[in-house]
Amino acid sequence: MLSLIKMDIYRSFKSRSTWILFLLVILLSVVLEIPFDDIRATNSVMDNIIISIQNGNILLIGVLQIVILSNQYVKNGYIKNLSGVLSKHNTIYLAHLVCSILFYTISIIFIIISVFIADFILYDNARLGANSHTIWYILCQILLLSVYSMGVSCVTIAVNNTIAGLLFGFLYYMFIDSFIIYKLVEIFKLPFDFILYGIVNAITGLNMGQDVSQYTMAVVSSAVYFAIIFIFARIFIYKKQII
Amino acid sequence: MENTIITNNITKQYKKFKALDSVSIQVEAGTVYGVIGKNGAGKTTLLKIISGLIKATSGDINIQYDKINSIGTLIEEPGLCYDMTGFENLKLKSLAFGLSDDVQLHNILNLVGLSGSKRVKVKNFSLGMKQRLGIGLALVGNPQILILDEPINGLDPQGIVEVRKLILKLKNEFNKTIMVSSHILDELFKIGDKYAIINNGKIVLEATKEELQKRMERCIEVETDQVEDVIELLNQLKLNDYDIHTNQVVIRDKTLEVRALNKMLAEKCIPIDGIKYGEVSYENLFLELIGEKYA
Repeated sequence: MLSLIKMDIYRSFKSRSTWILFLLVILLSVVLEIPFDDIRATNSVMDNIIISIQNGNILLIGVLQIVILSNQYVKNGYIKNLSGVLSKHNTIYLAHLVCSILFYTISIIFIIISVFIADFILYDNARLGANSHTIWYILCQILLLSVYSMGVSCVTIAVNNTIAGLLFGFLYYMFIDSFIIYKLVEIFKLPFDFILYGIVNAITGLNMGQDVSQYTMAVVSSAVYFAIIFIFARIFIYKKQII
Repeated sequence: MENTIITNNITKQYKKFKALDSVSIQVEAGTVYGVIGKNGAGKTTLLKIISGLIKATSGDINIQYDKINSIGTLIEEPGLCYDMTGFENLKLKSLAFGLSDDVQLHNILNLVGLSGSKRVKVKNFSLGMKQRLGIGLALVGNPQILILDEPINGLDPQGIVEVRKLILKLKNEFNKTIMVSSHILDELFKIGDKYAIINNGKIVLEATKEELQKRMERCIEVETDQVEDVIELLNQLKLNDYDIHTNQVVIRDKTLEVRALNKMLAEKCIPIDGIKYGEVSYENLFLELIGEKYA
């Protein structure tokens, strides 16, 4: 397992696309600092990171990264070379998850640095805006974003079409997740607050508050979604025998 | 010599299509084992099952080595990361195997003749270079068994010679057990020690190189539309080693001369369209074994 993670990280950081996406993350976060309105000027660095996460900017780039990474193994046939080590075929998805977590972590570090510098240049005043819950907020968001990206990556491999997979990822973020959770609440007469367990709701609804339960909920959502993805990947790989 | 790979009645069923039907083979250690068959015969399926890439529907496979990196594979075209160099491709696999010895990777690059292209991205490699890198990838982890599916497919003559030399070097100098499939028969017959000829998922013949060569010795080809009369004459002469095709009888007997046989056919008033010495080519032997007409 550790070997596969090392391999995935090596592959990811040797790939030009990863560095292009990092550059895109930095550019996007700096562009969003341009003072379109007064709110931007008064926002702290953390406020702007929350906005970037909630409006899906970082997610879109992270999804692209993991889709490119996982698809490369399948499409160029490199996955065949790993037959010996992939005795449990879907272990590679765990490696992809770690890689995705690393990508988001580095991206957020890049954003913090670039937004801080941009604020300093544009407004002559840079305020981090971090509090004691910042680290928990960021860790939970990284987990949620990574799990979401893995889901899109799995669908992309399953349908064998990158565009269709990414489109699904977009639609899921916009409508499908809420719809599924809403229907579950309706059918199983679940308490209404269950609706907050949808992964998209968790991403958009998580705030840097004092309430520890929301962080627990985010971790639970991530775990449930990743378990579903893991089972889906296992069935899919077994059926298709792509490895 | 002990067997490294033994398969017993392997069958692979895809819904209604039987890709492999009770395939049993034995591959000796330190030899090159050729798997011959036309496209769709079941070669790749057999090699994928032995490699562990897919599971057989039924049957057993016994492989002498049970370490995860005991088998190196090159199935169909090599799976390469094109935006990386040859070394980086090897490094990627070695990391997956938990290996950290870069010296071995450089040795592999030397062995497959790519040490001069360490900094070249794979997307700029020729087909032959990609194929050799594919074999190099199969060698990561120093496996005892190599499974190479169509390694010379699509290569130019120079590329074919390079891959052939490499396979023989791996057998002779490194004592690897190598299974190679191909439909380029002449080339496969230059490197193999033993062969399995596969057709419609079944092994039609498993034979050593010597046994196959014996089948290819000089023969006499008689063209006639009265095949049965020719057979009757051959039976009278107690010549039993012959094959019958449509309007053709191929007789394998070193002592028999065309002139003498022609005379006997004339005496028996058996009309013929032609009679000549022939040598069974690899292609003709293959076609004969799978029950198809000569080329």
